[in-house]
Amino acid sequence: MTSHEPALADGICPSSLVDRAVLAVRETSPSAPVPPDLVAAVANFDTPAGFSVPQPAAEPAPRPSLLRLLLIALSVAVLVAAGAFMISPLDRQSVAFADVAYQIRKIKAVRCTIRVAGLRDDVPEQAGVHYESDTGICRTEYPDAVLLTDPKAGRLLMLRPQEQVAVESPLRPDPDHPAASGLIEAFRQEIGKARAAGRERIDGIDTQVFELTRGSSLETYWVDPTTRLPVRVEARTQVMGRDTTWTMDRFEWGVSLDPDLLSFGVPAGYRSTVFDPGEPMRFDDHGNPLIDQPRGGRPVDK
Amino acid sequence: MTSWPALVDAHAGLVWQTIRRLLTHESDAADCFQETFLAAFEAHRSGPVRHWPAYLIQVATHQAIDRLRRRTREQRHIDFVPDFNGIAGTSAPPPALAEERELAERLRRAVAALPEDQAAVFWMTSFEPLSRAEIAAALGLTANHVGVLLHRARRALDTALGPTAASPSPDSLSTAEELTR
Repeated sequence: MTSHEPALADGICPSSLVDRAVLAVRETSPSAPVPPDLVAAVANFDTPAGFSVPQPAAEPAPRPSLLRLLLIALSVAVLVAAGAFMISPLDRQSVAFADVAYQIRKIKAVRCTIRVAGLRDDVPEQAGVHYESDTGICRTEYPDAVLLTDPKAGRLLMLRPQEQVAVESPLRPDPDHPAASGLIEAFRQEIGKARAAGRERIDGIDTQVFELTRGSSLETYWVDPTTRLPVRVEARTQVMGRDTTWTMDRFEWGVSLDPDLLSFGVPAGYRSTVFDPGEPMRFDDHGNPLIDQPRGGRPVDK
Repeated sequence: MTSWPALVDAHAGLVWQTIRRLLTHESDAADCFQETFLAAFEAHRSGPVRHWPAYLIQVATHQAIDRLRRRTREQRHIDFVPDFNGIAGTSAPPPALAEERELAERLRRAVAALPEDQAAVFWMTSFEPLSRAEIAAALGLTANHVGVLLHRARRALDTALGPTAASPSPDSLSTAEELTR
């Protein structure tokens, strides 16, 4: 690499990969100057006691006059009034949270995609999600199945178009098993507990990043500051002893969903299978209910 | 004596440059820059600082490595998509530039995996305009200890980055000589 040659006098050995990497860092690191507002921010730190600025000798305090007392009282009143309107950095953060919470709570329905990485060793699974916040019903479309969940009614319906099979079951949410609707609702309900985690550019948008810890799950939300809505949601948690990552993106907030998509009706021609409420369902590595070898299930032809 | 604003003004560029070599994302770098000066500001209350550049570089390097380590541990967005804003104009053609960036990223990740003292010694030795004695003083170590840590760091990085060709670098040689003394 010819660009490395001039640095040879710098004690760099071109045959060493470490030295070549050092040169690569030198040559590719951003060289823009420090932003002036950043310098101004740190230069404004209060000077601590004893720091290099010489302190003037203390003078005896003048005897307070009535006029001085009045001035002090007026100054305090002005400061208190100003303080009420001033926003501390913490409060600014709260305003941002509240604004995001307000926007997201206004949304009644959303479409997005969800991908799961780490659950299986092969390619990450991707599914389309339709979610309605009023009913809480969520439809997740996998390549080979459709999963409908209704947490309020406590039921689950799995449709397998290829096998023409429908599996109905009580919904037994696993707290360690993130679901798209759960992640959206967590953000809606618990954004006040989130931490601001800087900014990051996602798909051309300078997003604000929020982090939320729920149980063993670390969730990150990238929020578009213009719409105050997430453009990406990521949950990192352990499922079945594996470190998994659940990523939601391609959000379409405030869409109108076809009611048929969220219907629990079993399509004509499907063989319906129900499970006894006392029998826990088994899930495969994708989180799909196992229907090929049902245990305690009671096949019912509708 | 220098006032705090003058001190910041004199060394802001140095600190920023130190941080930007390790953290390619500007928002991370900005946070780290403020943390560095805040730490420096707090630390200064407990006593005078003999060599401000060395001190600030040491704090900035530790802060940036710590952040890089956390980010790498979280295996998230950072540094897998380099921030192309602000990268200096370079004569390298695009494929070579891409290769250099990849190599630079591999080095950052490998450094993040080193023990903290080794990472700091390696980074300060490789990138900062400080003598080994100044680095040793800033880190509270002896020059020999710096040499040992540097040798260990380079050996670990050699392994992490892959097979290297032929001879060891002059740095490794001098460190090895120190070890055998």
